[in-house]
Amino acid sequence: MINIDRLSFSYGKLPVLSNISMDLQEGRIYGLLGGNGVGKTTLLTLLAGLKKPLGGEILVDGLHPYDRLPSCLEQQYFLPDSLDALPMKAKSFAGNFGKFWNNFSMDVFLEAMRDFDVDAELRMDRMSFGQLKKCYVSFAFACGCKYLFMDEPTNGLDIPSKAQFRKALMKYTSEESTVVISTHQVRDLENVIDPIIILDGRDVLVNASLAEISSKFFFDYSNIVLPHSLYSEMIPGGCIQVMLNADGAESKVNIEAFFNAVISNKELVKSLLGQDANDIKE
Amino acid sequence: MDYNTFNLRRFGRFFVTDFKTAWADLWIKFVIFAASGIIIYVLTGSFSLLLGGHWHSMTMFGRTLLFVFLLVLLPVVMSIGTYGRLTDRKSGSPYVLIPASVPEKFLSMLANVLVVVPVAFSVVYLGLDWLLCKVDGGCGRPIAGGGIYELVRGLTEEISSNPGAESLKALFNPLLYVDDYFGFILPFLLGAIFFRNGKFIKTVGVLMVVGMAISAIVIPLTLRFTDTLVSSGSFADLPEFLTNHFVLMDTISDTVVNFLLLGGIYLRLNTIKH
Repeated sequence: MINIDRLSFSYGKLPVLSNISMDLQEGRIYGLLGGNGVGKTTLLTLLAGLKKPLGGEILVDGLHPYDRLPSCLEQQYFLPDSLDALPMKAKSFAGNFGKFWNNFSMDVFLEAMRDFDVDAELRMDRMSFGQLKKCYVSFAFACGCKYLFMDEPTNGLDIPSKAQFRKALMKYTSEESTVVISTHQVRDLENVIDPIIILDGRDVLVNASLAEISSKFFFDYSNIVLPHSLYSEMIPGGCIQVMLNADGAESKVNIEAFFNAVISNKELVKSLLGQDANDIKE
Repeated sequence: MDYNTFNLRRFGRFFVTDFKTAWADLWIKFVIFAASGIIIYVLTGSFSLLLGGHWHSMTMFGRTLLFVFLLVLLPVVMSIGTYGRLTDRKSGSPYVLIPASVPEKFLSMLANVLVVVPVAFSVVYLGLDWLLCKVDGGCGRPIAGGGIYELVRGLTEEISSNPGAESLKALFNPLLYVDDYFGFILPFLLGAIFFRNGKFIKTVGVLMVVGMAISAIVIPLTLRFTDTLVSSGSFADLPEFLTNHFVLMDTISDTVVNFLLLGGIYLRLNTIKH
């Protein structure tokens, strides 16, 4: 399990994350959402151990990731948004580097590469950005890590590959894995990510499962514009509206609409789902 | 030893992977460097033939100087080109997050830069030089065929035959220069993983500043020391004192500097952030 306790980080005098606390449970695929510059990538790099917290701490199974102990690094893989093309074949890359992760499977790598329709014999420095991304995504799945941190993994993927990514995510991550995916492309991962974490202005606004969100908010897809909605948006064939779920009615969560509702009703949402609510529950 | 500190098997795996990755990046430069002895030999000989009408190219002394120059330059180029990528987020993050300990990464880096690449380069360069001298009889003795040994021995005997200069013989011990060799490369390795850009220029700049600072301290001290010797009437003993203790002083100072540089490299590897 990952415990984040009063985590703070800043770039020089510019604070990015301030006093953030949350636990990330096993067997979940977390969607890390937020506007530009709110600290999503910073949080992922802190979780991976690429940065040192300036305040508070992160514990991954009781270890500080920034210590970068092999026993901690073996349990995780971080897929950054931009990637380096090594001057070698994809298969050689996987063979060379995969051996450092105990659960690495070359069969999984080759299968995932086939699923993504990328030739594993192709040199990485001759791949397009999308092919390179698929290569690294395949490698990330093949490592069989307990913790997988992915920054914008669907950026640069073509439409069939986005569907393939969702399938691969469900297929190759084990039930004990904790996956944290930072993304702006929520539609690419709508049926995959659960729970949702929304960062804003150095703070965690939401860390809740879709079931919790659905129990507190109602998503209306009718043609009638409702005056009390927290957020409404016209879509082809009608509109989508987010409202407080006063009577416990069931509805399908639309993550993009929910995100927009959260951003325009921060305090209300935070009191219902955020840290304040968690504190009250505890 | 603790699994998280050093594991021999994992170190072996990391060293091989590190070398393969470095080699994939370095091999073209390596081939050019290793073949440059022959290339320059042929070029100078061709110019001589065209302009002077007869074939005359680099002597063994010239080829040796070029060999020593490239032997220093190649690890510097490798440090900046291959390990310099560690400061780049795209290339450096995967390296930092490979499940191997910092001591393993540190030792692998040193082994590649200070041992494997220079030794491999020496073998190939000297092998090609030997072949060259087999093909062209006017080439003289190959460097590795005793030529360099004769050169050093001749120079040593010539100098040490002068009255009062016998102790200078110690300066021609090749082992004396191994720490100097490391001391020349290590600052560039540190600069490569410390500076995010302008690695070579910034390293040279820092070396110049440090050199000036050390001179500012050492020169007044030396002058004061010689003044003391002059006033005590023992100035005549100074040259003998310096030459007798040169090897020891040089080794101690180089070792201290090299350990400081190694400490800096380790620290930087341990704390690099992206």
